[in-house]
Amino acid sequence: MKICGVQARMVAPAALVAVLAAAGCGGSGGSGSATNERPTIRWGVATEGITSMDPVRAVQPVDRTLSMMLFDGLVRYQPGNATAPFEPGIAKEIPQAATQDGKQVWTIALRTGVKCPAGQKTPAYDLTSDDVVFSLKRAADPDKSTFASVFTAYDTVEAVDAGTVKVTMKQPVSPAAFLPTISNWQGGLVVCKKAVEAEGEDFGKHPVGPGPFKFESWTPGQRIKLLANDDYYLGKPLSAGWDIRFMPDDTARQAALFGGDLDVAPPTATGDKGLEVIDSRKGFKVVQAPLFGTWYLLFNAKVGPTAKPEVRKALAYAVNRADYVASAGQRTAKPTLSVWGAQLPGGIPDSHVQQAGLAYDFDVAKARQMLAAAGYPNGFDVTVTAPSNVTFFQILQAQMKEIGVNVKIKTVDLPTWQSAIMTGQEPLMLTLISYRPTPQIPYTDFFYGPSAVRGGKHPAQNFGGYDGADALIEKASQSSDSEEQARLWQEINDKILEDAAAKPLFMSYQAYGAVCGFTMGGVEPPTAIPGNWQPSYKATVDARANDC
Amino acid sequence: MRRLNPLLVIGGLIIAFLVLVALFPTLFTSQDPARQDVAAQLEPPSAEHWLGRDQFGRDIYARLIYGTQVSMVIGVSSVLLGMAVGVPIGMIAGYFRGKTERVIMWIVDVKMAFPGLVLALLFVALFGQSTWNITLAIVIGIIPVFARLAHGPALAFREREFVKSSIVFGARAPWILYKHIWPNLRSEMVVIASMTAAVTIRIEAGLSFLGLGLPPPTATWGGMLRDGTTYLQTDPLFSLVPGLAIFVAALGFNLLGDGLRDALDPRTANS
Repeated sequence: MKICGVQARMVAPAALVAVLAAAGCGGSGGSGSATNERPTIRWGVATEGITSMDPVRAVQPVDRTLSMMLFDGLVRYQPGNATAPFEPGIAKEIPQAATQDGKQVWTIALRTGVKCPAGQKTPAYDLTSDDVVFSLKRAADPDKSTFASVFTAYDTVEAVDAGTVKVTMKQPVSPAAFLPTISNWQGGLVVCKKAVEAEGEDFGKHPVGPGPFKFESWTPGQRIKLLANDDYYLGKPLSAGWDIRFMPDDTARQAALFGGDLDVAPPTATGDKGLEVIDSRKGFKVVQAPLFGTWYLLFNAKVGPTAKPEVRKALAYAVNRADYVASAGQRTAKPTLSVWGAQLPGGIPDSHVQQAGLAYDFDVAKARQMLAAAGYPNGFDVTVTAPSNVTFFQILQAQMKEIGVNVKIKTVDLPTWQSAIMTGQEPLMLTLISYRPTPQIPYTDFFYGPSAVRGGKHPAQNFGGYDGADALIEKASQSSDSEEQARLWQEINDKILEDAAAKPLFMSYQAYGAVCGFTMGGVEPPTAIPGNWQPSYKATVDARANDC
Repeated sequence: MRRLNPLLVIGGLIIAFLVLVALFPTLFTSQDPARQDVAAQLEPPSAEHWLGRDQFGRDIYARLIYGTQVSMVIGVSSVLLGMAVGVPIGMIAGYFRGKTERVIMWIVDVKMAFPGLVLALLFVALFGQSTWNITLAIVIGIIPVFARLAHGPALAFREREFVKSSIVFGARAPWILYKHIWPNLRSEMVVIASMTAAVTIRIEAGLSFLGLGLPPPTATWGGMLRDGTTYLQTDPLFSLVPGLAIFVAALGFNLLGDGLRDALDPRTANS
């Protein structure tokens, strides 16, 4: 506990209280003291709390992470590489589609020996098709699930016997569209039916699932504790569990990590500088956790000067990706040319975009010339709303000034910005689209006419009102042939870029500071992760590793 | 001959220097404060960029120089405006007494209960971020300060013989306020104005620090301070420099105020 004292004196009084309280100084011993016992992984998260651990209601990043640790899917993403083919999870093998009575049917055989651990109201029991059917129906029910729209192609879900589940589709879909719906991600996560029935509304606070870890306790504003599920069907977890601490104060969290009270935590400062601080510290390393999301410059395709495609193209040439990458940091931002990059499942490689001549490489002279040809030889003035925590808007402002486009920035808080872009009137938007299991979802939500926030039939997140790829997007959604669908996805990508509905800027990666011995237990280093954090049952901390 | 007051000299020199910087920024730097070079972000100080570069690769020294304009313009003009409105209000209340006084002083008291920064925050959030709005937001906060300080002496002077005799001779109220009461308040108000400028500069910096100052890319000390806090551990100079500038400007006005008080107060001026 000497370290606690030293650290405490180095931070400001307000932060000190937080460090002492949250880091448990003087309290229970950490992983360092364990030699033969399995370690408990102490993870500091940068939020004040969570919404729910129930997979169908888990919307915040930490919610999702927890749901993936507590529950499991019929098929699984390979830990650390979401672009690799799915692995069997609760299902014995990856299901194949068949046709019965003119309808597409997916028959899923379950693995034996999958256990539902004991909850506060229910004893442990063997998971059966009953639980799986219950979970999928629940996830598809718009009254109970946030992710019901993912399951609209489902017709019926039935238990054939205790070890087999049959899903009948309304219309045929491709494996690339079906498998994510039964994966260990959002609504695909299988819950324990008896516990859901026993807990009712409180299931999100007392979750019970067949995942590698089981819920122990939640102290709002302080911590969540998970224990290893030693009956986990893939193997006994290498750690004894997780101690997840809510530490929104950056300084306190970093001090707790360096003081030995945490094993892993997000860094204080963004960008390469913040990571250097961690790298240069003996005993600590940076964990790169791909893929938080893709940053775009979105244009308004319906209102103002950018309604003209020629203007959008001119602006796209005036935007230098390298500046955004430099600002975010080379280690946590990688430039991307395609709308949905190849680091994501179903993504399009940059080489294709380059060959198709749709990269919009930075060229001010060309931009000026195109803007003049589009009828704006002297540029124009626009007012852009920007959330106070996103500094990229100032880079955009400086870049636009070079071609005579004067951007006036109106800085607001995040909720105000969100309601501003929902009006569909914002001329230019810098925004992030986070991980989705297939490109079909972002295409439909962000670039499909009926999803337009202004005048769309089913308003979603199409903030710019673009509708140039509607026919292709519809065709791709109905395709049941994986190869054809992949080809259509590429065509949609090309069409969006051709019309300059958006300029893809970069993919952002999350990075964490961790003790040398920490591992997430997947592909090292991870290449693609749904969400940004996915420890497997092999996640652990080796207390002996203090040099890295 | 009177010995020059050292406080007055130091404060005066600081403020004179800041005014010079604000009026002629190009004398002090040839760099464009808005010019970005993101690839060179957070570069340490060099011969070309004396204080290094910020998170967009902009020259911190140039931003410091141009930031002086914002601080001085908003700081000084809000004090002048506050004084121009507050002093007459206070004098009127003190001179006329009765219902006028009760209403005015009641409003002033209510306003005094509000912290200036909170009121300014509300005002700017409602009406938008421009030089005029920010100045106005600060002015509203400091009017009561001047009104209160003008009220007391006005109360006392209205009972004095020279005022009473003016009334007998048929002088009207505006003339009396301007010719008899104001000259007696003037020196004290100048002192208070200087002291208040130190406050208004801090309020402007506070607004900018909270993201409610002038919109980007305008350089402001408060905005620089805010940007720098993200990099406090890795680049302390980034936030230290604007912090120091705010400190020096506030100190300058305070010293000037102290010095003026000593120089203008007949009890201390000759000692």
